[in-house]
Amino acid sequence: MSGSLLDRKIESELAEGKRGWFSAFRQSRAFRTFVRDRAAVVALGVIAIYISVAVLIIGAQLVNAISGGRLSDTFIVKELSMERATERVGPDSMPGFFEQASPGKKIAQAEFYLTDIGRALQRTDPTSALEAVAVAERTVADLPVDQLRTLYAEAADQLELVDQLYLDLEILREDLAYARDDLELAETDEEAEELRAEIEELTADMPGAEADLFAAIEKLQADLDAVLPRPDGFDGFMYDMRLLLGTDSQGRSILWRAVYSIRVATQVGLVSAIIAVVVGAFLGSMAGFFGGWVDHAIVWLYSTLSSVPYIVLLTVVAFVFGSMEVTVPFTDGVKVHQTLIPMYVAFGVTFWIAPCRQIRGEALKIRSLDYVQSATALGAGRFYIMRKHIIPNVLFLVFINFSLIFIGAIKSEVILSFLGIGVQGQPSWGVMISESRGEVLKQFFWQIGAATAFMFGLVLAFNVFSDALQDAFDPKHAR
Amino acid sequence: MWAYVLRRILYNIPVYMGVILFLMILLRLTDPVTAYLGKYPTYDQYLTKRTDFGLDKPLLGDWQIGGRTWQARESGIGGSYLEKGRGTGKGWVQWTFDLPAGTYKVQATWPSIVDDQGNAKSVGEAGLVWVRLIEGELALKTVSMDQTRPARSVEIDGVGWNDLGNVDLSTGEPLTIRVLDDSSQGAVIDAIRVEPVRVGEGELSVPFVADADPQAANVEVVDDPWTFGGFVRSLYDNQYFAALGRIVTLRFDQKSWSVESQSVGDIISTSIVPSLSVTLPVLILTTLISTSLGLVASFNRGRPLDRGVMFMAVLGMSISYLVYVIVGQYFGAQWPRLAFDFEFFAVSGYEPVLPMWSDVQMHLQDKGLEDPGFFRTLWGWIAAVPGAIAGWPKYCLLPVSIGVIVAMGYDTRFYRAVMVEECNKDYIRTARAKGASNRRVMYRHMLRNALIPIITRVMISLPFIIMGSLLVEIYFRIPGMGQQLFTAITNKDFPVVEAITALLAALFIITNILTDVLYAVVDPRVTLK
Repeated sequence: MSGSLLDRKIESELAEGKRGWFSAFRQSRAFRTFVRDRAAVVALGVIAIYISVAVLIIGAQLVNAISGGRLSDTFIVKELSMERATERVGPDSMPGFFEQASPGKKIAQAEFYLTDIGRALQRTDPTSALEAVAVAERTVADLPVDQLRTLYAEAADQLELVDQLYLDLEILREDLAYARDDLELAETDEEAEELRAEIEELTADMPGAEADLFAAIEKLQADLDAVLPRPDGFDGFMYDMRLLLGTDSQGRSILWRAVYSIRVATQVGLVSAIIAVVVGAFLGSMAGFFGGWVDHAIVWLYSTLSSVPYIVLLTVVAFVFGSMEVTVPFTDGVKVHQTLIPMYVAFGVTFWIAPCRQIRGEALKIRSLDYVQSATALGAGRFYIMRKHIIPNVLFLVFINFSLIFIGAIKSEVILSFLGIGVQGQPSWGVMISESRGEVLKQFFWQIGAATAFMFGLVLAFNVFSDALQDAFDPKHAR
Repeated sequence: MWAYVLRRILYNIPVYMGVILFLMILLRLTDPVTAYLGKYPTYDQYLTKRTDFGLDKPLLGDWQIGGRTWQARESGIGGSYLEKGRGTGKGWVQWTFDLPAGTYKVQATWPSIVDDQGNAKSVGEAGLVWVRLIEGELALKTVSMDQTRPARSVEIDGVGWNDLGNVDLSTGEPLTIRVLDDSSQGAVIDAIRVEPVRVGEGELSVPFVADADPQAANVEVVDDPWTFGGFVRSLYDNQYFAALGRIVTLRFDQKSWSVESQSVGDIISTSIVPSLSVTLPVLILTTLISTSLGLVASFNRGRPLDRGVMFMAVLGMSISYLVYVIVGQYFGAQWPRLAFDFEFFAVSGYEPVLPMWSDVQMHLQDKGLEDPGFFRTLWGWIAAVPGAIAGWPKYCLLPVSIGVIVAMGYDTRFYRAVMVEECNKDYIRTARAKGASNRRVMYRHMLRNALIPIITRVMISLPFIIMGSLLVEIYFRIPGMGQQLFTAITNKDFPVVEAITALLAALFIITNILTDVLYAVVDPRVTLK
């Protein structure tokens, strides 16, 4: 009752006062400290970019789902759909924009395109079969079938020639290596002399053979372009963008996958952080403020949960909820497998402990402060004190924990995906990094590099941001 | 102090009991026996796995007062089906038929429900339910029905039936079909169908269906009723106390399910040394390096050195652990091999860092000693230690360096923050005013006072450091605890998973208590109230 009295007093004060909450916030010490930190403002911008991309992707998919697929041909909806991130856009393991593919790789790429065309030309109805041969924006040239056939034959011949040249070069290299080995083992001077002459001869042949091969490969690519011309204009731009960071081992665009993964990461991070922070803040402030058996029960709960090895908890929860089906809203009972829900549950269960612990400690401290004591003496109710004194004073911990859990969730997703219990059926940075294990051994770094770079941007921004938050809100936080 | 320690221990007992209960419930959300054995085990396999780990007992008291009798429900074929909660084969429902000699095909069905999307599922959701086919007194066979799904292997007149196989009747004794309640969750049965396949001339040759009707003359229902004695017994003779007892007495002699020759204790004891050979160096090196970095950074607060260290720490924290492992393995082991023919680190694998006791014994026996005796073996073991340790860098140095690099970012930041807080305290100013040198202030005053947070962090990371190296252990194929636990989870090796997790939880709680004790030792101000 007296609580409401105090309440009214403060309300009237606020009504008379000139400051609204927004201007109060802008004049607060925390806000000013935060804005002074230039890195933090940049980080906030980066986070905003990532989150808006994620919102854009989710929005496009929602629009698609609500419209029942009628808008699926719209440019944005199409480009942001999951199909784009999981379809084939070229030969496998293509390097990105500045790395030259090795001759062997280039031949394999040409072969990839030519095989499909050759197969289509052998069909009884080549025209429609050729139409189906389309890799991303690259389609078969708009020419009569006979002309295409001759062009294709030319390219195929060239491919054979290139293959032969490549083989020759390999043999040359091998011979050279053998001769060098033999030279080390040579017993007599004559033998050594002979071998030296041979090596010289082979070395002299080398540049010629290489030049031949490169010229032939260039010709092959020109031939291929005649059959399967590179698109120009806007299509050409999109095609180049798709191959900007190369393709993965299944010929999917690495750039598209990395961008699409922003959605998964943001979703996992946001939802887990919201669950963890809300549960943690609620239980923590309850424990700290009420004390007694409530405190004992909550402390027991989190001591118990935190004694279970994190990975076991994640694995079991992911295993139990892994086969769950979810009905998509706004649709006629469309069911989805392989959702992110097991990860939300797993992260929610594990991550709420840290905010709960911290907020409980802070609430315990605030409860014994003089002004809270005097509020109690004035007759303020528990919920009034909770609302006016405890919650505003622990709010900074909520924000800081939110951004720390966000990072934790994104990083744990990678590990879970590596263990095979994380994201399934859609691209994510974790899936990309674990898929790139074999590629790294073959010295293909584009996939792991792209996923790491995209993830690095977001996590670094959040790290800087949470540091700045701590500086801004926690006066004691040492800088 | 002892009263305090005792109180801490007493306080942690309910926490630990809660941990074990929580873990046991989590691990039993799916039936461990059927998860391990798959869909088509034999009854013997099923019984062995269930009883040898005590999974037929209730988890903690048998609260299923109503679920212990067969309940008739109105639905299904003939208007009724029978349903019962979990049991251990003591209750059953059986049909007896007087049939002429010949071969008969037996089928069974159980009710299923169809949801709005047209997906059918079993009412029982019981996993495996067992049916025993008996001729007279002689049990012919025991076959399983997978009741996680509707019975659908054959469809006759719009009803799905599950084949239980053929029986040959030759003695003229009656055929008994007995549905056991031997299931971890429950059993349902709707009807039994018997179809003559090959019978004597002029004899009955029409297939017939028998409903699960408790009133019928040839149906016998045997319950496993709730008794007070049984209930009281379940309060102490249950899985939960059995598990607690195993932990308290450190008795890990149950057999592992996936590696029959090894007991759980064998697996744990062989994996401790590999785990420690990676994690202990990581812990020590990280603590040493990051405390000194933190000390230096805090001492140069605001200067380029500090900023540089902190910047590197944040950069390092922003890259995924997995990337460090993948790239580290490539550039540490694979790339030097390809580029310079330099093979210092193994790509993956492990050799014992400490000689195995049994290996030494065997070696001595090979040399002609029948019974080497303890001291001789010990001497041989000590002699073998340097050789074994010399193999450590090849297999473990790379994982250790990766672990240190990963952990350093977090720890340096933490220790710097701790030191900076100490820097601002009065006693540092006093020490300086007194004319103490920088070095003296740093090591004698600051580091000593910062020991409490350092100890806390190190102690808290102790139990997790065993699990923390899970990724490294899997990637570099080091057979430590983390890898064993992961293998056990993927193999559904239930006893091993339960033992390792329970042990880790115990370790966590012990270190918690130790941390409190250490506070008192380090800091005289801490009053142990």
